[in-house]
Amino acid sequence: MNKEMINVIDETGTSKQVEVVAYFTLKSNGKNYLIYTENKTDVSGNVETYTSEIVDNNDGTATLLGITDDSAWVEIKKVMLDIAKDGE
Amino acid sequence: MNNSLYSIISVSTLKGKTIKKEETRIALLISNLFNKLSSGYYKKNSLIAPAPAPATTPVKPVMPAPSIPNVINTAVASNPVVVGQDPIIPAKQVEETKSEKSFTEKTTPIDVIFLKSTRMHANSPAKKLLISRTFIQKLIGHRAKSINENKNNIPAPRMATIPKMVDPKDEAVKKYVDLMKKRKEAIAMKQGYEKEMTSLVNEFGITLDMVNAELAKRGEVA
Repeated sequence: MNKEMINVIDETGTSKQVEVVAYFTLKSNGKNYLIYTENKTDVSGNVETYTSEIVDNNDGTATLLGITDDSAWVEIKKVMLDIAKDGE
Repeated sequence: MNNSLYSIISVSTLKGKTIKKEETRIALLISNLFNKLSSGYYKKNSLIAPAPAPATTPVKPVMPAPSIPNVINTAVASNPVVVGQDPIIPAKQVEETKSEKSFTEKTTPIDVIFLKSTRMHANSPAKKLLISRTFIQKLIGHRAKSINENKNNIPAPRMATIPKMVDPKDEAVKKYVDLMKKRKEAIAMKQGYEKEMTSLVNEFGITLDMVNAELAKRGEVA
């Protein structure tokens, strides 16, 4: 399966190539979220993933924002479970 | 050493007594913890009010307070999200929300192009989550399948209407021909009128003086 790789500059200014895990809009708040991974694993073999709100600046750039809304974070995790269930 | 929070009991006071293990206390403590979590007791920003639930639907707790055996079984059965920071959502709640999708996946070709061609810059740290390899493969696999399905459903591009280039000379020729037709029609009408006038002259002996007199009455000139 071809990986969907994109470039992301993190908050320290470091450019990284990451794999897209999911990209969706939450209906409750109309915001877009991007889940991605560098495919790094911890000692237990679990994969580190990162989730950000993505805001299109309409000038060829987008800003990745941290998620501060607890209810949105809960919804995002539900979305991940939903998507995984859909795929079964 | 004693303080206000606790006092140390000497072991000698327990000698000769039957000590019963209070297993249920742990269950109660954790159950109580879940209750406090679901009620928002340990919420970081307790000053920020959560978004109000809509009036028609009852507010569902974020985390129900199951007994310990159920929590463990649920977590194992649902191919869990392993978290370093946040609690696991029981599979039960997934079933409740499955019928109403709360999100729209962005898997159209435009979305794919957007991600690839847009320069993305984070201005604050992303939320980190540890996920099992199996689970992440399901997410990625689902996205790939969705993107593939959307590739085949690309609507035909709308043709832009390009205005026709008009040559003024062509327009002039067309106008000349239109006028020629109108002139021809006018000539035919004139000939018809003249034929009728001649007929009236011959029938009623109309003279020029009679015509001039009538014109004068009307205030017109021949």
